[in-house]
Amino acid sequence: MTWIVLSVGFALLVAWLASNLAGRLHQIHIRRDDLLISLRWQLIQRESLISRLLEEEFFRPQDATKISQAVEFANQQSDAPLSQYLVAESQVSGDLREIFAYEYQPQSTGTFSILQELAQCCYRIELARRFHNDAVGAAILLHKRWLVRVFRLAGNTMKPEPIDMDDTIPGELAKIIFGQ
Amino acid sequence: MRIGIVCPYDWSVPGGVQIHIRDLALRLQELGHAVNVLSPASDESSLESWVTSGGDPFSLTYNGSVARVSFGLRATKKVRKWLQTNNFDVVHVHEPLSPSLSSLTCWAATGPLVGTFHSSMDRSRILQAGYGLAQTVLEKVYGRIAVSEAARKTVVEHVGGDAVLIPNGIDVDFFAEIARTAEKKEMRIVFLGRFEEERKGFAVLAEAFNRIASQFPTLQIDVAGPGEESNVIEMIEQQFRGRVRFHGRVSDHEKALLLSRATAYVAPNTGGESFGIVLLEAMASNVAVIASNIPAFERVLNFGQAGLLFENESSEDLARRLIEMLESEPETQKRTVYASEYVKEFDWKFVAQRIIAVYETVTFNQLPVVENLRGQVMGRFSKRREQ
Repeated sequence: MTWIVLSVGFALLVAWLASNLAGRLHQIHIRRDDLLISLRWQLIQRESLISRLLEEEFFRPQDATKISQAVEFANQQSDAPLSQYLVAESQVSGDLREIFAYEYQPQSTGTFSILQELAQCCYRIELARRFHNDAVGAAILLHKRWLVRVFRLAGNTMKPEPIDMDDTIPGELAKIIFGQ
Repeated sequence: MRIGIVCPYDWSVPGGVQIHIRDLALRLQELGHAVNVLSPASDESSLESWVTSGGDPFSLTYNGSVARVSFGLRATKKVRKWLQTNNFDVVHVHEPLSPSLSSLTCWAATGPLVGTFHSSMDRSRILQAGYGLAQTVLEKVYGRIAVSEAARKTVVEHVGGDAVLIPNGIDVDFFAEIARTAEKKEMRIVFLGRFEEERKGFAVLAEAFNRIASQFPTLQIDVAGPGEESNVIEMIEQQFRGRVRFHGRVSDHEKALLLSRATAYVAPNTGGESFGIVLLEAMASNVAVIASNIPAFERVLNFGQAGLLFENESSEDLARRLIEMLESEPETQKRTVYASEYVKEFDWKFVAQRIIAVYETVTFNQLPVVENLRGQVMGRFSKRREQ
């Protein structure tokens, strides 16, 4: 009789722990997905701001050609696998950094406000990537738990992978955000 | 944006975290955001209209200091009610791992939560023992911020993961303006903080002062901060005691005046500091800074470029640095000018912009923070008591 009570108690405890872990895992996956969508959204915002600067004829002609080609290529890759798309976006980051290595003088207050938005957006890209990878780290920790593995609590979810991309903020734009 | 901020410590007793939250809340409101702060409060009558009381705090020894926090079922009920009535776009929790309203909020809520870590520790038995529990708090936080490299290191080493560095902010113009109109500087050293607390290092300053007081007969010390003068005055030799003035607790304006009239601000803290906001305030007040070489201060002083560093806990080295500073005016002046430029990057203008960028990153889908008690024992019990 004692054994039956102990076994039922143990089974209930395991069931409660498993249910709790499944809930936590679900929440972390939502957080990770949200942050990935946020990253994609910030990248789209960056392209739209670059297009506005191109319309304002802000860039030098050779820079304008370079950045518009990089943006166009990134747009074409937006439906490609994530890693491929992020390589294209990394190219945009690299080109922006080369362009903003020199001091650009905004011709009007309107252009300056677009530059401010672009600086903020570049910063948000870095934040979204880091926050996403943080969520991935938390998910991996839970995926390693024996209860998660034995009861397949993660279901068919793919093992989360951190994102690697170039999101270093161009020097002149960093001054707008960091004041240095 | 509707922003909720959770302060873990008693709002009625000003401290570094509370001041940071107050300044952030005011700055966010100036920028047009709706802000509400949830904080424990021992004196509810003096709360600002945008602060909600999270109940009566109790004292808890934490990280070498006595923190006044709220925790338990009653506090959980307050958190839940606050979340239900405000429908926040983002909730910014300070010190999420402290046993306080902050951890309770993380447990009770789901959605865009941001966490800021202020404190730093070399080793924490509490965090080591409660590693699993800490994960249940941190899993809820979408974006983590650390106010200093030391705080970031504490997070990364003790609980894992990442945190972006966004320093504490100060109102540079407020201090610079008072410094511009202040009287000519006298031979005065300023010490700010709870001078009775050992880690604030008043004993180190007192001993250094005893060493050099005869050499500089007009040198005085101004001490501002809470505490009993009689508990520390004996550290100063009898013949020099008349040259030490205790001002008690001071307002921001009085603090700025004290700093701008001084020759130097000395921060002899021996450890447990994550940042050192007063160092920045001194820099903005155009006063020379001398600080112990603990990691947090080294970084704030840009490794000695913005102020002199002395060997931690060594009154002899502090005395030597004080003499160096008092006797070589051009060098001190050069460092002070550098510091008054360098401090501008810590202005709220830039710091608030970066914090807002964090909010915008986690709130892009415009889903509000909602209550979620799944798996939350504390929340469930508080719900049962409510019925």
